[in-house]
Amino acid sequence: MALTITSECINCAACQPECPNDAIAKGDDIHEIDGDRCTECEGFYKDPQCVRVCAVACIVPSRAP
Amino acid sequence: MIERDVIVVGSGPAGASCARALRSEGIDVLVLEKETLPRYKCCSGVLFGQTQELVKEYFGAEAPASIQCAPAIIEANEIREWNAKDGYRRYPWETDKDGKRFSESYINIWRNLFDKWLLDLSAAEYRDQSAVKSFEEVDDRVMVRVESSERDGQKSVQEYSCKYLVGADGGNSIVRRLLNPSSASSDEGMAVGILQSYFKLESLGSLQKGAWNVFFLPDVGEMLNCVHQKDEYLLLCVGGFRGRKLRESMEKLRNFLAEQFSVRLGPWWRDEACQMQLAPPVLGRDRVLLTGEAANFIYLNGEGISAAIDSGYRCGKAIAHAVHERTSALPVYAEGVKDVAGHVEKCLAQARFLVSQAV
Repeated sequence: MALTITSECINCAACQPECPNDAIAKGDDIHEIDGDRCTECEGFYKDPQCVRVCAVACIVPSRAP
Repeated sequence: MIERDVIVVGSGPAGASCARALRSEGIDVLVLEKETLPRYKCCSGVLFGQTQELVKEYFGAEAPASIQCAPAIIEANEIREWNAKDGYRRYPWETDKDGKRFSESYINIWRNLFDKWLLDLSAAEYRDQSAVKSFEEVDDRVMVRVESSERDGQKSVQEYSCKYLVGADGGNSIVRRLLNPSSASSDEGMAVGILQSYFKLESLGSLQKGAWNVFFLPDVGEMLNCVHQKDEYLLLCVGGFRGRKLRESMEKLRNFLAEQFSVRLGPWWRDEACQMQLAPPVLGRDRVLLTGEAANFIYLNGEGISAAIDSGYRCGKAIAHAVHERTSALPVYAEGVKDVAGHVEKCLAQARFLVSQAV
């Protein structure tokens, strides 16, 4: 259970301070979510905060590996 | 444990101005910046009349040539909106404040250089690569946990203690977020995404030279789209309400400029992006105050530098007063910043009017 950021990300970084698990950081090109830390905000909020604030609606559930 | 009277988070114009006011009152202040200085910032990089006046009044200085870019001056009447029906017409970017008018010769600058210049003028002690992770109020102090990056990339956590903590850390303020950890993010107000791209300029085609061109193109984005020169680059800016795919918007703007004006762009240099919250001001709580864009202080068309300098400076003065008089800073700050908050409201109303006229 984790979320991922697609290439539509513009690096506005609005998602970063929202994450209760400190799972979001700037990668080489765009922002990235650490799948091992992301809980989709379970235990903190009723819906993922990064999805709520994303400027360009580019945060989606990770596909199964 | 590192102890200071005041810790200011964020080294932009709000933080530098807050620090400047504190230093002028003999208060011990440390500025923390999470990026490596000097750092870029998503901004048109234009100092409007009011900004120039505030820099003069609070810092006793004028933007030097070393932080400017060409064309160094953009006149207010060279900011023009274009549409297919009317052609060009003047587009007002800055409005009077409290009946006061400002210079209409605006200065084109690089934000990374301007911000560092202002921070140096504040004469405040600062540390970059230092990100606030958490804080708590204990008795009459605020304990702050800060993660710092060393030159070798290693990270270390340090504890700081201060009488007042100031969040001058912009639209994505971590201080504002940590003030309300248990509640979900606020959906109050209007959230606007901005994406800017710099391209080497090959030809302006038939686009007005030396001007700042503004377009309202509903297909590209809900906010104004604009284009102006910075040295050898053309800066393209698109904006839309939260959820708009701004990379697509940027492609559409590029195509529009090529088809309508025969603009030719060379290689891409860099992108900058941000999100603005157009909402009523929030000033903080107890010993943790917010200022600049972190407090939603932003003026017409997203002009945030003058709002940041003015609110930041008054925040610093309020804290200095509170420290000297052993009283609470927040009511003093709220009173002192009333006209800035009032102007934010006026700009919001004006923005709604301009958009309704243009689309």
